[in-house]
Amino acid sequence: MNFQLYPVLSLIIPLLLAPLLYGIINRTKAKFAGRIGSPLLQTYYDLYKLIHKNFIYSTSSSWIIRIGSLIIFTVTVTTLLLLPFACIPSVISFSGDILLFVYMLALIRFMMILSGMDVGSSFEAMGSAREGYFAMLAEPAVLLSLVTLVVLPVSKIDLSVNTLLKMLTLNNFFTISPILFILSISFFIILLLETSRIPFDDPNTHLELTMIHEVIILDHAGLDFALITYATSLKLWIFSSIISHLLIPIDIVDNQLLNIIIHLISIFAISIVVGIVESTFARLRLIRVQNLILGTFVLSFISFIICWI
Amino acid sequence: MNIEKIQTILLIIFLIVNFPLIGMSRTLSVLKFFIFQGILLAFSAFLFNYEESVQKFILPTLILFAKAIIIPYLIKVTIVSTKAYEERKPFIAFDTSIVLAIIATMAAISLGSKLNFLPNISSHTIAISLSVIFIGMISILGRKNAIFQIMGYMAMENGIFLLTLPLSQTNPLIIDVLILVDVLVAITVRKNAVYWISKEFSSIDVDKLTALKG
Repeated sequence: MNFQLYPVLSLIIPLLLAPLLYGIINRTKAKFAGRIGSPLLQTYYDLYKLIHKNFIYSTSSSWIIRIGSLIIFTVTVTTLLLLPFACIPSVISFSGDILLFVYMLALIRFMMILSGMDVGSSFEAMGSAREGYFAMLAEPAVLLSLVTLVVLPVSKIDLSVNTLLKMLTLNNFFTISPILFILSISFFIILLLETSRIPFDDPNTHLELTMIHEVIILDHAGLDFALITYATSLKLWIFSSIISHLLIPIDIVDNQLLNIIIHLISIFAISIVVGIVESTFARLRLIRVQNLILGTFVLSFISFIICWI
Repeated sequence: MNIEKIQTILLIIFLIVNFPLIGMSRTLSVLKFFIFQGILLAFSAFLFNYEESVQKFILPTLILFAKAIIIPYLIKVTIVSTKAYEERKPFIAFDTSIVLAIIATMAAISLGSKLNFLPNISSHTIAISLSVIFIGMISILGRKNAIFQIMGYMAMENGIFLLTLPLSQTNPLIIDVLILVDVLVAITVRKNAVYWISKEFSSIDVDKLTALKG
């Protein structure tokens, strides 16, 4: 079976497997704490349960919260259309779609902030302010990382996410993999920030003063909450997929099926690393968060300068 | 792996070490990176000398002793005796100084590509050594703690040394040795000055030193 002829698979695989990543992270954390932990498929059960619940909206909210979660979900799926998976090409790709990619992520965040502010609670406004502040610092880092991919001395057909993520091959592995390794560290920190994992935000806590993501979605219920949870797991998939493409050459084995399986395993391995980070690190103080994001920017900057040298 | 490639890797490590030097608030952690910079400088002194002579081994050894052992030891003694372990309220905040460092690095690179006054110094060497000099300058301007100012001065000195290393194979050895002795004397004087200031005023905050003027 020639997988390159079925680009739609690069959309179907994430849609099916993304909630599994949460299961892997939670299992890893449970192993570290000495517990058995929830089943690997727990997120699927949660989503199934949430879909059958009723909508509840605050009386002070407007239409924004009603369409917010829908927009967040659809934009996330649209972002997935740009992303290739191993040897499977992306569904849509055109020159310069890296900018579209970055601003799709920004649109998701914008809708998240708006629907958080819409319910009129001061807690959600606080979470939205934090999300906006950190995102503002992280966005230059994402853009600079992608620009570094563009200026890498590798021949490229066009400047699309599809081409840029597939440029690491066995031929140029030793030339560009050091730069890509630095970039993947920077992307990993951005992954932790974008999906609100531990050094930035504790997904388990429900203490309003310490959280970012959980406090914004506090007033979402039923299908809305299910859509946002699903969209966040897809976002986790998007960033893990970028990191796995930066670390593993695209033609590591000739067999296409084996290639896809290796990339799947690497994405699951990244989830395990996220779980390990969550179990061994403490949450950063809010004042310190900006230093870490700035560090990410510095990493991207250094890799950019290395391209020049 | 040829010698140019190793030089490039060294320059990249110099660039990476710049950022912890400017972005950390604890003096002892910055001191570790400062020692690392000294070791890097000694290693580059070894690599930048193409000629097989005695000088190829003497100068790196002297740099290693002066910049990675004696000077850090003197600074550490000063830190312990004045208990200046952390910078709390700098003139320029740490985040701002990292942004400034990025801007300074970009300026250094654009300058380095324009300055080609000497044929045997590559533009990369000029750019990276200028960026190290700028980092030292930001450290001197932005910190209140006198220890950071000493380390900023030393970082600047390291940058100047890196810039002149390609020239050292044509220079007589005595000039480099004299510069090293000069720096050692300067650092000893500073160490004693800081120690007596901290003993007299129970602080080495340079902001308070303005009270000294008559």
